[in-house]
Amino acid sequence: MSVREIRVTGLTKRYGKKTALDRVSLRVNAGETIAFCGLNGAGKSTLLRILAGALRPTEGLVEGLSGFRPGYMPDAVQFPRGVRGGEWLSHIASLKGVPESEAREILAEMGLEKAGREEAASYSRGMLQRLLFAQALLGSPDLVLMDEPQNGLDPFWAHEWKLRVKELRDRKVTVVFSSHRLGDALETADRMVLFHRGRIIGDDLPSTWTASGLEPERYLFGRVSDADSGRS
Amino acid sequence: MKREGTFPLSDARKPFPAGIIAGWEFRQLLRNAWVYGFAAVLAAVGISLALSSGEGGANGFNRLSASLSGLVILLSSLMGILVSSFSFAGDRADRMLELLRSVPVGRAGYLGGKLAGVWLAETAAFTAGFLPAALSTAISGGWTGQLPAAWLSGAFLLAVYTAWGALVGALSKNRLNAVAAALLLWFISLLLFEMALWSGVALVPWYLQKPLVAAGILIDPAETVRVGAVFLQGQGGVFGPEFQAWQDFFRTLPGLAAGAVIALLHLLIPSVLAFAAIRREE
Repeated sequence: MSVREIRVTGLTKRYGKKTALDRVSLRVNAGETIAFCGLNGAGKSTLLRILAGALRPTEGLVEGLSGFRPGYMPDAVQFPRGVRGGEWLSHIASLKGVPESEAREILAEMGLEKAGREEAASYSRGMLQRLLFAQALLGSPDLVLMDEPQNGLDPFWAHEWKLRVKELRDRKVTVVFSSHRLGDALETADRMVLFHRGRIIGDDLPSTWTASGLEPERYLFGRVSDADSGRS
Repeated sequence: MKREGTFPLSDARKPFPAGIIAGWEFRQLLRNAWVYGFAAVLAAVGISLALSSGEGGANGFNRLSASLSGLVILLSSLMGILVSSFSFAGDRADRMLELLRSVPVGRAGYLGGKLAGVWLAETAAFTAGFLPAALSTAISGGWTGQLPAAWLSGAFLLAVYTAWGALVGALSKNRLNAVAAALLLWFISLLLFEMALWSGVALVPWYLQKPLVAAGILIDPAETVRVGAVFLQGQGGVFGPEFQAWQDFFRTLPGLAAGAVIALLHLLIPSVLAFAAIRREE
């Protein structure tokens, strides 16, 4: 059986004159859990959107995606008035060819069974994140891509999210997520990929970060400063 | 969370995204107050016209039924472009399009499904508003033979301006920009274009006047429908002998084919441009 992997080679994405991703190369092996870290505007979300098929690169190649069934959780989707969370999830289930019963089941797992009958526009940020997480898991994907998935989650659901990512990892599901919660990322990821100004400036094991003895935020700032001053 | 995969799907269970999206848009828009607002305005103004207008006119093409046709052209184009541009711009601004692309839903499936769903909902609302207006016109002595042509004109213009709305929505940063651009385009197409055309005709040499009028009528969908509806009823003569000749051509088999091609182009051009605009955004 061949080893499945996603190969990103020389990927560049420009929005007009602004370069969001600059010749990025990366390999993602099947079954890995990878955390994208970095400051705002570093290129994490852009790469996730390209991997999800929502965005086309300006240059470069992404290979191996066709061998995966992706589930994508974007950051900050808004819902127009009148759309109920549960019916929307059923709509996404139909588009994925998944039975409606599965949508109801995941909705209940995310603690939204009752809220599913309410307008999604009235949800708190945490509830929205859980709804988006639910749709990403529809159809049992083997590649889960998440953009800032913990934003707005309360401590209970932030903890639940970690448990579910670990569970996905145990089931050999490939997980790629971006996060500013570096402690959680270190706890859940197999690899920490550090972005800065559209480039990857680090691809380390979490143990590299923890071995530094620094708080993860300080470690990140140090790496970013080094990159800015040309030391890495 | 111990769920096992439901993929790969058998061919029988593979979803048809365009149909699913069309159904979703149709259901969502039927809850939209704006759509009902347009239907209510069409019904109210149509009934008012019927109650306030007298009979008269030539060859059955009377003032009352002509007023209803004019109202249908104004309102259906406005409803088509406003509702559609608002909806398409909303998908982009809310990042729903990004999510759908990841499902994955192809651009053609998204655009085709959404256009179909929006148009069906608009046409349902338009019909609901048109029926009482048409009934009042008939009761008040308007020429009922013109009513099917008026309904067809409305349904066609809804489709054309829904496609233009998709383009406007795909190019706009947010809903507000989309609505502003849609209103401007509607104003130019429905009001300014006709004035500019007839002013232009008066300024060009005589041998250019006929091609200019023909091109003007064919370019602007509202003009095409205004004149086409008159031809459909065999009333082209009211505009003069030149129009009578054009009408005679359009009532032949090659003329009907040419009319179908013109109608198709009015639908296809904005749809293809909207497709390209959605692609460009990625």
